[in-house]
Formats: sequence, C-alpha cells, structure tokens
Amino acid sequence: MTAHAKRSKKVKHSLGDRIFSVFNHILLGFLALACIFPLFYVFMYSITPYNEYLANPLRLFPPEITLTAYKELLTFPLMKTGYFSTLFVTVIGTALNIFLLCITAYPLSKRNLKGRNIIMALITFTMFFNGGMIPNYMLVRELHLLDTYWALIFPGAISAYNLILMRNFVSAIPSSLEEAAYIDGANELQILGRVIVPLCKPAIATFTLFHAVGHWNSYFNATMYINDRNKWPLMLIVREMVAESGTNMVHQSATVMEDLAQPFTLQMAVIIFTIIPILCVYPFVQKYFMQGMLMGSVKG
Amino acid sequence: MKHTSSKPRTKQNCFQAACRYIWRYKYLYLLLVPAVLYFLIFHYIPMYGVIISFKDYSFKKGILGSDWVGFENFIYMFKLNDFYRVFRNSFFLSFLRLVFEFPVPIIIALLLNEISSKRFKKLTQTAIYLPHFISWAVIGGILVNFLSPTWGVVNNIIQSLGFEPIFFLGNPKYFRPTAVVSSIWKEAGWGTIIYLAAITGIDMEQYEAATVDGANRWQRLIYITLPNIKTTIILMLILRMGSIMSNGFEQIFTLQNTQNLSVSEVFETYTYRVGLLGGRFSFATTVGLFASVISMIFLLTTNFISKKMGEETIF
Amino acid sequence: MKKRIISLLLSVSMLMASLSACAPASSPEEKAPASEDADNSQTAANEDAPAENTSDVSAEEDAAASEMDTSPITISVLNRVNAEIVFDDNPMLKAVEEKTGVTLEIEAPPISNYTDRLQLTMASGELPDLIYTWDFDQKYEKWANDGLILPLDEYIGNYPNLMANLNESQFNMARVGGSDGQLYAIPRAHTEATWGVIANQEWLDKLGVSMPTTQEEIYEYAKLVKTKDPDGNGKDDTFLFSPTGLWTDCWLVFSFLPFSLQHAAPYLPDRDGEYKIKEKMDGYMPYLTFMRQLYEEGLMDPEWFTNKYYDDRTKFKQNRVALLHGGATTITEFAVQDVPNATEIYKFYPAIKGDNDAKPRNEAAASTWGGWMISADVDEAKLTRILSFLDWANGEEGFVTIAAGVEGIDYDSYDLEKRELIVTEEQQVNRTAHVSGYMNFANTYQGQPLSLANTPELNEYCLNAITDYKAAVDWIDIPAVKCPEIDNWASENPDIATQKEQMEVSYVVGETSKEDFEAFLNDIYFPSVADAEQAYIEIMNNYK
Repeated sequence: MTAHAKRSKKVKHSLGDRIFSVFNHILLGFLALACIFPLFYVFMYSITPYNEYLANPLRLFPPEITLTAYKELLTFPLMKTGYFSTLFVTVIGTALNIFLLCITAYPLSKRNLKGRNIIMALITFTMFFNGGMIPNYMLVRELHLLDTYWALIFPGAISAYNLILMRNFVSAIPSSLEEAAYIDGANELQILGRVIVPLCKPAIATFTLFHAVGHWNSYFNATMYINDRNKWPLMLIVREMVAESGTNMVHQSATVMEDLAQPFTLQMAVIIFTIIPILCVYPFVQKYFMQGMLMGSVKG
Repeated sequence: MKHTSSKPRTKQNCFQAACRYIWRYKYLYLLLVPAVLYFLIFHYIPMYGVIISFKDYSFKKGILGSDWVGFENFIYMFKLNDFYRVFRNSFFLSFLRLVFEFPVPIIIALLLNEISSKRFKKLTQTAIYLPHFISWAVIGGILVNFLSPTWGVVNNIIQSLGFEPIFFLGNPKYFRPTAVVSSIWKEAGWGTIIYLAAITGIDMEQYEAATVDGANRWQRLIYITLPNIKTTIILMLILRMGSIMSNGFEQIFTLQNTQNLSVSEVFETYTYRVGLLGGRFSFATTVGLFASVISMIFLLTTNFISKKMGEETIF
Repeated sequence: MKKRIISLLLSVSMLMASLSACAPASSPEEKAPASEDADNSQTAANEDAPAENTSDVSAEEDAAASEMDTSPITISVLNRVNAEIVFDDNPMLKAVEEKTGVTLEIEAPPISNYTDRLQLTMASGELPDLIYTWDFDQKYEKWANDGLILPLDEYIGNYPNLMANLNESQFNMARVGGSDGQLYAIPRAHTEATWGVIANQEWLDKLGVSMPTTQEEIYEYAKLVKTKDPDGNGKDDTFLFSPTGLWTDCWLVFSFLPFSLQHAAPYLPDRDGEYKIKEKMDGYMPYLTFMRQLYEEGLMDPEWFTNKYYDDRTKFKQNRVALLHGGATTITEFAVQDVPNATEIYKFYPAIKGDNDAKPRNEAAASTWGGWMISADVDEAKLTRILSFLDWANGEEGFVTIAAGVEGIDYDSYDLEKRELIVTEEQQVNRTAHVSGYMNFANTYQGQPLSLANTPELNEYCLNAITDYKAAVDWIDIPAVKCPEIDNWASENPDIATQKEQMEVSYVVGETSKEDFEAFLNDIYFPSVADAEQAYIEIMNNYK
C-alpha cells in the first residue's frame, strides 16, 4: 500500500466506514478465536498427563504438564529418515508441481489455441474417473518406481483442480503486457518466464502452499508404494505410532510405562506437530497475499 | 480427374496448414507435452480399472481376465432399498453445504480484505487456517465432548439459559446442521486462500480511482472487488458442482451413529459398510462410478450454463 | 512409580543373577542350580527353565529338531509389523536363522493400512511365500477359491507342534466354506477370551453393596449409582454402564442369552437345547426390554449409541460409569497405560448370572490373531520348509525365541511356567527394536502369551485373576462353525441387516414400540432370513 493510498483513506473515512470497520474487526476476531480455541485445547491435552485429562477433560489449564508425547515423537527411531523423506518429497514434489502447473496453465490460458478445449476436457475427465488402487499399483510397479521417492511425486504431479484454477489466474493477466513483450521480440517461453510467472506470484504462492501442505500431510501413497521403512514419510510414521499405541500388544512389552505416551495425548501432540511447520513456513508465503502485485505494472 | 486431384490437395493443404499452425505455436504446444504425457500415463493407462464394475473380479485372472457380468453390479445396487435413501442423503447434505458452506470463504475473504491493520489481518488469517490441519477423527472426539447432553459445555450453556439440553449427535434432526457447521468451521478459513490470491491480483489503481471518486468501502467492495474475483467464484462453483455427490468419508463416519443413520448414511459410508459386510469387490467401484457420472453431469451442466451466460468456463 | 518399578526389576534381576547365575549360563553344569532356584519343584524336568538357555530344549523338541532340515533357505514374508522393529541385524532374526536355517525376508507395510496392501499384493500376481492375514473373511475365502493360496490339510498332521499348540476350533476358524472345508492358513494362536465385568470397587464400597450377580441386583445397583452420587460431584451424572453397541457387552447379555458376540447366528443352542437365530431366542426380547427400561429410567449412559471404539473404557476411567465389559487382563492394561492404581480401585468379576444358571457363563470362541497363508507358487520342497518353520515357531523353543528375543540382549531371564519375563531398562530398549507382538508367528504357547503383564507383580495379579475367574464360571466353548449362508444373507441384504440394527437401538431408546419392532421382525426380517436360518440350523445339528 502506498503512502498516497493510506493518506487518502484516512481522509475519506466516513462514519459508515468506521462502523463497518469496527463490526468487521469484531466479527473476524470472533472467528479467529473460534478457530484457535479448540486448537488451544488440543495443545493443552498434548501436554496434560492422561490421568489428569481423564479426571477433568474440560479443564483449561492442567495442574501439571508432561512432554512425554513430544519426547516420544522426536525420539522415535524412524524420525530422522522420516524428516528427510518428507522434506525431500515436499520440496522436490512441490517444485515439480509448480513448474508443471505454470508451463501447462500458460498455453491452456490461450483461448484461441487449437486443441485447448479437448485437452481441458480430457483433464477434467480424470477428476471423476480413475482406475482404482490395483491398476495404479501395477503402473507404479511397471515403471519401477516402487520403493523410490518418485512414487510419491510423479503420480500426483499435476492436480487437475489446481490447473483449472491456475489457468484462470494466468488468463486474468492483461494481454497488453504480453503483447508488449511479443513486440519486443520475446517468444512464448520468454514471455512465460519474464511476464507471466512474475505476475502470477500470488497464485504461485497459493498453489505452493496447497501442494506443500498436501505433500507434508500425505501418507496414503507411501502405504501403497513404499516398503522400505527408511523411506517412509513423517506422517506415515506418526500415523503408525498412534495406531500402535492403541493396541495392547505394544504396551505389554513395555517396561517403563510412564515413558509411553497415551494414544490420545500422542494424537494431540501429532496435531501440534503437524501444524508447527506450516506456521513456520506460512509467514513467508503470506506476504504475497498482502499486497497488490499488479499495482502499476500495466502503466509501466 | 479434377475431382480426384483436388481432394488430396485440400487434404494436403489442411495438413500443411495444421503444420504451419503448430509450428507457429510450437512453444505453446511444447509446453503442453509434459502434461499430456502425465495424464496419459498416470490417469488414462490405469483407467481400464473402471471395467471392474462390469466384471466378477478374480484375483487369479486379474482385472482384464475376469469374467464379464454386464450390469449385474449396477442391478444389485439399484435393487437395494437403501440405495435411494443414500442417494437422497448424499445429494441433500451436499446441497446444504453448497448453499451454506460455499459462500462463507468468499465472505470472509472480502471482509479480510477490508481490514487495514496488517498485523490483525495476518493473525486472523493464520488463525482461521488452523482447523484445516486437524483430522475429523480428532474433531469428532472434541465434538462428542463439547456437545454431550450430559457432560458437554454447549449443553451446560443451553441449560443455564433455561432450555432443555439438545442431543446434537443422537437426534437425526440435528445431524445435518452439525455436519454443515462443523465443516464450515474446519474448512472455510482454508478456503479463503484462493479468493485472497484472486483479490491480490486486483489492480490497486482501480481502488485509488474509486476513492478519489468518493466511493465508500461498501461500494468499493461491491463494484470493484467482487467483479474482479467473479471468474474465480464461478470457476470454484463449477468445480464444486463436480463434487455434488461427495460428502467426505471421515467427517460423516465420525459423526454417524445408529440413531442418525437414516439421515447420515451417504455414498462414502454406505460403500464402506456394504463392502465390509459383503466383501463385494466391485461394489465400491460401481457406486463410485455411478456417483462420478452424476457429478460429471452436474459439472457439465453448470459449465454449459456459465458458457451461455458468457461467464468463465473450464472448456 | 517409574523409579520404583525399575529398581524393583533391577533388584529382582540381580537376585536372580546372583542366585542362579543365569546370565550367560550355557554349560549343562550350571543348569541344575538354576532350575532349583526357579521355585518350580513340582514341574516336570523337561519343562524346566527352558528360556534360561535357548539351546536347552525339551527332549521331545530335541528329537524334532534333529529331524529338522536346517540347510539355509530364504522365506519371504508379508507381515503386519509395528514401526519400531528394525529388520537389519535383528538378533532375534539371526537366532531364528541359526536355529532353523531360515532367513526371513520380511516385507512389512504399515499396520494401519495392512488390509489394503494385502489386497494389492494378492492382486499383483507376485506373492511372497508366507502371507499374514488379519481375518478369515470373505476376501480370504476368495483368495482360497481363486487358487492363490495352498490348501494345507494333508500336511499339518506331520507337524506335532502345530497340532499341539492349536486346537480343532482354532483350525476351524481358518477353514474355507464351513467347518468341513479345507484349511488354507495356519492360525496364529492367541490368548483365550475371559469375558466378564470390571467394576469400580471404590463405588461398590462407598455405596455399601457387593458386586451384583443377577439381573435384579444389577437393576438395584443401577438406581444406587444414579441417585447416590458415587463420584461425589453433586450431580446426577453417573450411570451403571455405557455399552459400545448392544451386543458386545457380554457380561449383561450372557444372563439372557447364550451369545457369541455380534453374530446373527450364535453357534450355541438356546436354553431349551435348540439352535435358533439370535432374534428367535428366549432371551432376545427380555434383554432388549431390560435395556429399554434402563434407558428410560436414565440408569444407563443416554449417549451410549454414540460410543466409538474404546469410549466405554474412557468413560469408565473417567468415573462416569460403574461397570465395564472387559477381560481378566484389562485391569493390568489400565495399570500399565493410564491408571497406575487400577489394581487397587477396580476389580474383575465374572459376568452376570442368568436366572436359572448355577454359575456365570464364559462363552469363548477359538482365539486366533489371523493366520499364515502360503502362496500357491511355492514348490513342494519349500512348502515343507515353511511348514516346519511354522511348526518350530509353535513349539517351545521357537515361541520363546521369537517372542522374547535373545537372552542377555532382549531380556534377562524368562520363566515359562510363571510366564514371567525379567527385563532391564537397557534390554527394554533392545526389545522394542527386536521383538513385538506383531512379529510373533504364534501369540500363545499352550494357551498363554509370553507374559501376562510387564511387571512381576502385575503378572501375578493377572494369573490370580484368571485362576479365580476360571473357578467361578461355567466355561463354554463356542464351536468354530462357519455358516456361509448366514454371512451371505447379510451381504445380499445389507439394507435389512442395517435396518434390524437400527430397530433394535430405536426400541431400546424408546422410539419404536414393542408392537412395531415385533411387526418388523415378523414381517420383514424373519421371512428374509428364513432360508439362511434353515441352513444354519441344519449345519449346527449336523455338527452336534
């Protein structure tokens, strides 16, 4: 926001605007609280000893706190490799997603390009119909991708849903900018790199967030395609921990009981554990939503 | 002679014209190659799996080698009394979601855009994304605790206001509202992202010009912001119509119990139950196929209407 | 608590070590004092101190072992194994290799999605040699009928340990198409069920009553729990119980009906000796009506039908309900998990007694934890090796080696008779990575698991509870009969099956009148199930 815009807003604030603003703040503030409140419970449960939780599940502040769930999460033998797998798949996977999304959305945004509608129709079709688990597994096996990270990256390389939305963002770029570059002698590849991508930053940030969160949280493909435990992603490991701690067999073999977190407490810790990386990454992405990217670009 | 010679020439001409066209747009077509390959390999090659609905699946013979049974699976599906109830439930619940859930992220995004304090905006944004990361299984546990007519907070409040406690999860009447409200709570915040991104793309000059012209906030919202994100909204609506038959397994399964089954049974949970009971391998695929066809018809219709109205379309 | 247990374990293990010098005892001379000190004077010599030295096997097994082909062979296995287990350089697997020549090449998909992966593997056309299945359901029958796995009847007779460790009922669980069908898997033996009631003893004492044993006493106690505020919070928010579903709470069901859990067919005769489907048994309506009364008078948790998984246990541990359905080991599980003083405040009782019964019943189905299928691609020679490996795993040496690991690394000492495993803290870390319940090929040996609980005191508590329980109940084995017609009926008529469940619940919560409920049963349910019912009765009469 430029200084100019800020100043003019200050001058123009009418009474109605101010009432609207107050009302707006209250409403959104209430909404934010409604979203944080249950999460606050989740966090409290994750550090409350399970017997304290049992005694009074609705107490806000536990009389004592325990970090066993987090300790268990962090010291689990597969955690190190799990972190690596998830980071690798998230970074490489998201990069590939975004790259493919950009290069595909751009030509498909050309309304007059022949064959565009056929390709769009074929892509849309895949949103409804898929062959199911067995053919997909066979395909991944035939491609020799089993037990590789690529089995977690390639099958979801392009999301038809996001592609349709991305194309819409690319279409929204004024064609005058593109034409200007074309007159300057740039070809389509150069236009994509120099004009489209920089102007699509908010959209790219959005889909980066979507894909990264998707990769971070995904486990299902790994359960199908990855046997090697050292290649399991974090979310799969965490899921296994929760699933296991619910069964008695494991507890029976444990001697030092208080070092084992309760399935419930563990589950709560897992949620916090899932959210924290997003909270760390989000501020970097968020700045792209905060300002108008197109400002002044048409003029210039 | 003339007649015969002109034909190949036009064919040739067409071909040449096509080649020239493609050569002219070679970069654009080149850019499409990876995507086309991807969809062919990872979506169209395994697509043969859908024929499992028309087969008696045998593990030994595999999908292609199993014996054909024609529409037997579909006939079985249509003969089940529950099928129509499940169909109605799925559609009705999804329709309620469309009406009540779909607009919420748009409204929140618009309201967020009107917040001038950056810090407040950032905090609010972050806060409303958080519920997206909690799984339904966990939310279900929290809801059971909060909504319990005996021990729950919500009913404590209701009772202290002098009303009878409400059994939200036990009474079929309250199932749909509970499902819709809880999924608004969980997903509406996350859903704002796409609209915020669209709002960010609006040229600031339009706002400045409007401010100079004396437009108030409300007018700017109606006459600038909304029209600028219209294409995104329409596209999201078309895509939403494409999932008119889906309600998501996890949420429904979590909130479901024997008492509200008459309204809470949807395709996802029904497939699970019947598949589990019956060990019918093709049943899930058959129901899925049916739901997909219905959903696709909805998407195509919406897309068509949008096209007729001169609005954004998928193709 | 933690320190106490560790120090106790340490002291016990040190005592054992100093008295019996059991740690690296491998020479025969040291075995004699060890077995004397083990305080097992009445035990036969060949059962003595088996685990103190893993090479020391019983005479019978010695003979079997000498016949056993121990040439090196690799068996590929698909198993459901927890994430803690490390397969590379696992001493337990090495010990197995040394003793049997078998190298186990284990493919272990995540336990939470094992069923999906199993189905994929079966569909993929490339089967491992030995495949674990969690249940013997219709998928299992389909694999057998599609010829993916081998029938095993003609072989099992040659394997004494298999025959000894698994009973006829357990084998019958794994038969395809009824109890006279072919066996397609070696069942994984599991602990026999001891169903009964866990009572909050503190509440019983506070209300000044003893544990109710009959239906009338239960009703009276329910009223006390409801009105006398045993948890002392000043509110009427305590209930008798909070069942998960109508049919899992055997402790109450047994007093009305001979029941085997949720099946449509109970596989046991009614009180008059006739076989009937559940809905036609004498106790069916009285049971539901009693539940209806409890619900109507607010004596049972009004939210019971929203219970999922272990919600009933959570509510019990939260002091919201007085009684819980459970087994003899449930209290020690609680003690290990989250209620450290569980053995002091809870007590395990047999189920409620029926009006005409002399003793409370315990109806126990054959207990298996799934079983092991063998790929049809395996040749005769390999099949023999696989079966003899499973035989070994069902014998004493194999069972202890696989479940306990390697002495000195994974545990300090083991007493098979008392089922007492002594583990130091350091060994516990090793254990977690080397052995687990999931890694077992048999979960029990002679009906009991490796250990009942993880501390000597709890282990003893458990043993006593089981002994008392067995003396108090009438033990009835549910025959492992399969009636495919009944299962098929449910799969062909999922809507009626579901509607019946709904009607039952709705009758109990008072939304459906008795007339409507009976009309539904007579007009819709009974006619629909009639053929399957006929087949079931015939099968049961033939079985008898």
